Amino acid sequence: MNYTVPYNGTFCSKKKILKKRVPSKEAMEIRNYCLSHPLSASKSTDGKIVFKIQGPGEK
Amino acid sequence: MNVVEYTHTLTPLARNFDCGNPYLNLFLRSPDALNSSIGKTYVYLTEANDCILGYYNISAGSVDQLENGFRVKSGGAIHIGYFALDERAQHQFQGQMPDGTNLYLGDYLLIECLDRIEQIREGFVGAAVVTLASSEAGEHLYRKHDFLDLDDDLTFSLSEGEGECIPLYLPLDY
Repeated sequence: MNYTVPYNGTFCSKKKILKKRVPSKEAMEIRNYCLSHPLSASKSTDGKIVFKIQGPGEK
Repeated sequence: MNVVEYTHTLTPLARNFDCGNPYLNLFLRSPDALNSSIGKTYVYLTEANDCILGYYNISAGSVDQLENGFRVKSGGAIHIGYFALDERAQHQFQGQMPDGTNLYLGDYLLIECLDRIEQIREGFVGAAVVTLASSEAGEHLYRKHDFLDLDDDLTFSLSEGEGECIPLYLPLDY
């Protein structure tokens, strides 16, 4: 390959994405809850969707 | 959650999917939902795999800086091109955390989607951010999960149909 752009000390763009992810308390709590309480869903005979939120370690 | 890659065998289930937005319904029913050139579609299914409750489509992208009329890449992105939940399923789901905070089906699916993106980033494709163009209806969900407005000098490419939407992004580095 024939790179013709002179190296200017970095391979990153001049403006990198500087912002970091700062999880809000609400987002963290919801995420932790959802990951520890898996969700399952099934369709009942009348066509309704029945959801079940399982407890931690529950199968 | 039973979330799997959308394949041809699952397409008959798309006929009964209704998120209330004809455009998003149409995408799932179209061949584009199976087209890897557009993105990968993942569907949230019931345990018996007999009903689609939601879906999302992700693809590679970038966030660009506008510089003297040119777009210069600032960082790689994983773009959530489509994200939708079946309207009836949303109404039938009732979840609450012990402190009384309401949970929504969108919370579960978005967290699953973001975890998948983290896995892709760790194992396969580098990216600095997650991008999406939100409808007004979905904006609250994304902001609740820390999505931010784009800086004025940053942009990313929108798909057909996303022009009226709100561009948001989520940095992936902590």
